[in-house]
Amino acid sequence: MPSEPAPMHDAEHTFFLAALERFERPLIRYAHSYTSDLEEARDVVQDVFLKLSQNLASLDPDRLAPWLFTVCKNRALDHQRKHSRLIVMETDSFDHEASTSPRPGDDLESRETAATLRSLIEKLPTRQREAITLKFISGLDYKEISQVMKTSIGNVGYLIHHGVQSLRTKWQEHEANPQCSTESALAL
Amino acid sequence: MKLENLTAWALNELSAEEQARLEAELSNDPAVQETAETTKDFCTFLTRELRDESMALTSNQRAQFTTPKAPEIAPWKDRFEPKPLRWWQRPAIPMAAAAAVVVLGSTVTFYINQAPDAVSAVATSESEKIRVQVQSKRRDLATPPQSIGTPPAPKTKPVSASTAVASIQLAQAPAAPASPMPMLASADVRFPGNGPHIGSGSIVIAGTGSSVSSTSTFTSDLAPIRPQLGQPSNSESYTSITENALISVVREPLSTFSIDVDTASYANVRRFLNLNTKPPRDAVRVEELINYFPSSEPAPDADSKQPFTVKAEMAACPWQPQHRLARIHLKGRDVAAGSKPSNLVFLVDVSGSMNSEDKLALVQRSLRMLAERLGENDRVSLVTYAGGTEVVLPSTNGLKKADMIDAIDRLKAGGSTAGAAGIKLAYEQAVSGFIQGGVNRVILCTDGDFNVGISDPKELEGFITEKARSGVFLSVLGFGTGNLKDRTMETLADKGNGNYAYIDSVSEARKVLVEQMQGTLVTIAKDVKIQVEFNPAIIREYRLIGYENRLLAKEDFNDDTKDAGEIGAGHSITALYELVPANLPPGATPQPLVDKLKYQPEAQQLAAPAPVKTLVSATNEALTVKLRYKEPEGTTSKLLEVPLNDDARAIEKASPEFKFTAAVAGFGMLLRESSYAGQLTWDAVRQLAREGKGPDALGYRGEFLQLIEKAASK
Repeated sequence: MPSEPAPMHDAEHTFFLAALERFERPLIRYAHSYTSDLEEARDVVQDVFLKLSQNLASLDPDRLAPWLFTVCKNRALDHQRKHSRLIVMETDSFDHEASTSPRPGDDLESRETAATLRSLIEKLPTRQREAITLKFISGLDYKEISQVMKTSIGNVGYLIHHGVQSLRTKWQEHEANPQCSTESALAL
Repeated sequence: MKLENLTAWALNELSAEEQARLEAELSNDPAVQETAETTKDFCTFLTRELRDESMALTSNQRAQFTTPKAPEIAPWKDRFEPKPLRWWQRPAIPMAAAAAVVVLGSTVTFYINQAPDAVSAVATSESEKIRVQVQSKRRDLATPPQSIGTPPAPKTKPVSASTAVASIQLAQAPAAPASPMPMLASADVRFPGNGPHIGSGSIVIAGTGSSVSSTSTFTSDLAPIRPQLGQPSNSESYTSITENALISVVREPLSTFSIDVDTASYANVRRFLNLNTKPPRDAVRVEELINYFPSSEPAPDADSKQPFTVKAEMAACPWQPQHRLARIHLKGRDVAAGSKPSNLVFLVDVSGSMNSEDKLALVQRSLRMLAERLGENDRVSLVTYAGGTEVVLPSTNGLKKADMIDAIDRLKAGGSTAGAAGIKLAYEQAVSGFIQGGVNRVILCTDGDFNVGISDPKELEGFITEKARSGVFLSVLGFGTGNLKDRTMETLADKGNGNYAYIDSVSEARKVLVEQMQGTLVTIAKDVKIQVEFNPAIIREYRLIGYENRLLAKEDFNDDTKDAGEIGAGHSITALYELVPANLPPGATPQPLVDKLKYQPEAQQLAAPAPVKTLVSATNEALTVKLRYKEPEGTTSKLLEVPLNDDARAIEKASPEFKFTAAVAGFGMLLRESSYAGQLTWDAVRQLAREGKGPDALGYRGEFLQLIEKAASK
């Protein structure tokens, strides 16, 4: 059983729980942007927190976010390499999952919007894509993003600004001509 | 205008100032404003669509992490096994076992005699757990190591708990009962078990031969073992701080304390706030928050006789408008880098416990940073200790960077700890390369698992004290975590006339070793004590903010054998007093803490220092700050006096530094939920901090403003 979380002392456990609370969902969404599969994303994030529990003693608390997201990215890429990557979005699976929304139509529409936006993000240049993902999908702030991406806050501002502008143009094109964009989204 | 800033504004990523500036620009330019609004709408849309909160770990996956592991014996065993028994553990084990047996019955009575350090031991039983943790700290500030006092009389009080015991840690006396050191012990008891059968009690430990006595309270914590999310650290243990209370000037006209240049508390508070959690009250030490920030006030000229400037200022108290706030500020002389040749010996703990990213790896990075800064007049050697001691780098010229870096990079952790031998070897190196008139310093880098030796620790302290007199000082750089060990390191640094810094990150290493290198390495005055005398005609009551563990007896001020804090080059040290004016109308102050004396008429109480009174009434001085300090190589102290008048200044008219200090103190008091915080709000703290921010070349104050936002949203 190598996957046992390491025994922790009280202070460390408190720190760990706070980290879990703060970063669980942002990490899942981040992993999901790589795996496009919730189950896989969960596995990845489970690994991340397992690793965190084993490395608490040696971690610089100020660099928690960059540490988590870097580990998460590496794990997600490992997963991608291991399991052949699903390229086409499985739109079927939307219908099988239970919906909590009062009108399932809303949910589906919203998921389509999100799926389209994600496909547009996929097409951004690598660094912009990374910054946009960390900002809008994971919800990190500029400073945290700069640490994860090992760049300056100014550069993060630049990447996000251009990413947002470019996304907005593409989104407007999509709105004007939904058919074309959706196809490209599904084909991606 | 940079368009990136519009996006940053839309995402709320600008600092408050940048935001205000940009919004001012926007209001002048409707076209840009529209662009900004559209960007903001689109960003909101992106966030809403992309941030799918439904994606989370399964509850099983999460339970794997949130379910606490039962506190087994294993971790304790780990802690004991790798290292040989320490000097204080040996006599403790039978005593701890005996104590456990007593507790098992139903009642425990234990005597805390003169314990010079904390001891832990383990005893086990079945289901319920009581963990008693007694941390004790030698009150060495008030007593020089050589002085022989009367051994303190043991005072005891039974603590009862009708529960079985799983593990106990308790402090006990070392083998030698003749130990002359007066003790101050603080205790923290946690009862993580459930149910109503938990007792609580209090224990008073007083030291004779020292004027300082302390009351510690055992608190029983009925919270479940697992800390609640969002309320972290209710399981971390800190030495509890009892805030200084308002003291009547008539009864105690003098307030005496030692300066403190430690800053560890700020780094710790920052760690909590950056995790979006509120720091535990006792982790907030207000004076350490205040002294973290270098002030912009002018230092004395390099050739001035006095090693530091003293500035005192008084204005309205922001949290009690009828009260006054006095700020006493010391700014040490700057010493240009390289102006004094240095002879530095790095003593690095490379025992097994140092083997982690935030320990040895951070030590190496810190030392590399420092190595970069050394010049041709400097000499460096590197000594390590683990199972044995080794001179890794013999005294080497500061220009031979490659040799230094190479030696630093070769450091590797492993083995047990032979600290005493290491420190002796380091001092030998320092003495053999002694530079007359230069900086001679041993820099100890450790995680604090600094095993102070198999023999008597006092011998080692005596050794360090003696070497300090010979001109070789000691700096301690702490790495990793651990509160109790903090205290050991602080004691060693105090003894060695050095300073103690806690390095939690590379940026903190840069602050201590690069930006404030001269302050860390060059001591410009030692044994600096402050005594403030208040004029009862103007001030009725006073309260020293912070410095709770640095208080001295009034007699210690003129006693040159009493050790106190050191000031490094360029250091700023600030103390604040909250003052109740004597002329407040009756009823304007809350209920006095002590009633008026029945058998002494008020006039007589005031007239007690009769000859002084005539002197005092002739002046408008509210208080006089007296300072004593010694030159780094001196043995007799010099006296400085600075009187302070109350010019009825409003807080708005106060200097920016005054406002900033008040903001940091207010920040600490709000985090501590201080009963003295009065009408203080986070808005007021923010306002003061902004007005007092100044140029902030190093960005510390900007970071503080961000921490205010984080703390305010708690």
